[in-house]
Amino acid sequence: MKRLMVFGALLIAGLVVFLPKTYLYYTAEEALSSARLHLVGETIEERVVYLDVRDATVLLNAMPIGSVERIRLMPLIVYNRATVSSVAFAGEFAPLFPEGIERLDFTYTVLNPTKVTIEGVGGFGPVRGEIDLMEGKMTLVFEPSPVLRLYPLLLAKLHTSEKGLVYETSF
Amino acid sequence: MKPLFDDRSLRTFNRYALPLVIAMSVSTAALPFLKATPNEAAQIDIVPFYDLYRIGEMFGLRSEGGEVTMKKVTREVLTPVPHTLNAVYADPTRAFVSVTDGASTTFVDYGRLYKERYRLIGITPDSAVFSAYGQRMTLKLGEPGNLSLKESVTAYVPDETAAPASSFVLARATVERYTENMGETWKNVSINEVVQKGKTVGFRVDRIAEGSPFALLGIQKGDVITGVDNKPIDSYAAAFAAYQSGLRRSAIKITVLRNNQPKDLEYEISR
Repeated sequence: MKRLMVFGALLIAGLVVFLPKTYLYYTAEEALSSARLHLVGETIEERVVYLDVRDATVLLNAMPIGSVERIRLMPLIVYNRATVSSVAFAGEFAPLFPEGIERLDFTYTVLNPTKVTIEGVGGFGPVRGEIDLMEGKMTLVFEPSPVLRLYPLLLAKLHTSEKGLVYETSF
Repeated sequence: MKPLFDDRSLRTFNRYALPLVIAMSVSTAALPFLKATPNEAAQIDIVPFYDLYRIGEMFGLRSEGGEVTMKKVTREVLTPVPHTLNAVYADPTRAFVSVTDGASTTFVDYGRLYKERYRLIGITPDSAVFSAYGQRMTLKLGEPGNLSLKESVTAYVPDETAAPASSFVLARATVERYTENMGETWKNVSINEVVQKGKTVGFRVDRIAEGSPFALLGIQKGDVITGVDNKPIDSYAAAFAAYQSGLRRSAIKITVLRNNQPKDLEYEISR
């Protein structure tokens, strides 16, 4: 049993290290482009266990809608995380998030294979939520806070529930 | 002759190196299925028409202002207000707690109201339970906690139920106004490309503001505009050209697919 565990641990560690992370990022980028969402002008740094994408401009339908300072992709096979840091919005999204988003964590684990959990914080306060991959639904729960009064356009998209102020969308 | 690898070294290899070799092989085998080059910005099909397209409409977002009729929406939000439970007193004759909100300290008797909204409904040796707005809020002794305060938040959003204009006359001045000012157009309508088998077959009207000139034209939400004056609208460039040529017309025929049935809408543009 112990040998099997050592074998499994080394196999996963090997996969994490040898995983072609840059290629995975390009593949994910191509998948996003089918939704006319592009990341351009970014710098990619591949490390042993993670990949950093820095200073990316986000284009939707070829129009710049924002910028991201850093995206850290950490594919650890059984526990995968993408951290998006310092998102600033432009155009019509700017009134929604005037202060931008400080950090957003997307986490996917094999223990919960049908869901991606989201946690983050921005000028609007903390937000948490999940993406249900089976139902194709994303739910974000904003914590009721006085700072949300600065985000009337965002508030108009939310509804109140026991969990907090909820934004739901399907894809 | 002594073998190059004895049993011991083979076991060591199987235990430590084999999983790494497998991992490297799997990673290498995956390479042909992954994309090896980035999506260059130059490869993105940038169409000038997009400059006029209101991206936010795709997400149901709208900007405030302009001529869109706005309505006031008030939402009630529970916001946390920091409080600390300083002390709990309870004996057979009286039970009360000491609560501070950072500015003042108040003694609250069991069953009484605090700040005229929080009723003290429970006391334990290390906590106090308040009730307000149909919710229970617990403060732990000596720990920072929150009592929720219901506040009204006001937002202004487009009023889609605004009464439509009664006139069905489409004046040339109106056509000129919307043709020359695309920004106004996109406040009233939202269209999206309809692509079938990789080819644009038309543009679906996903939103149309009630009372706008576009609604008066008889165009309905869900219509797919496939042609103007018998010319197919099969690209953004064609749609844009047809739209811009509205200025020079005295009549116009728009072909739409409504409920999968083609329908011609013909109009005269008055002087």
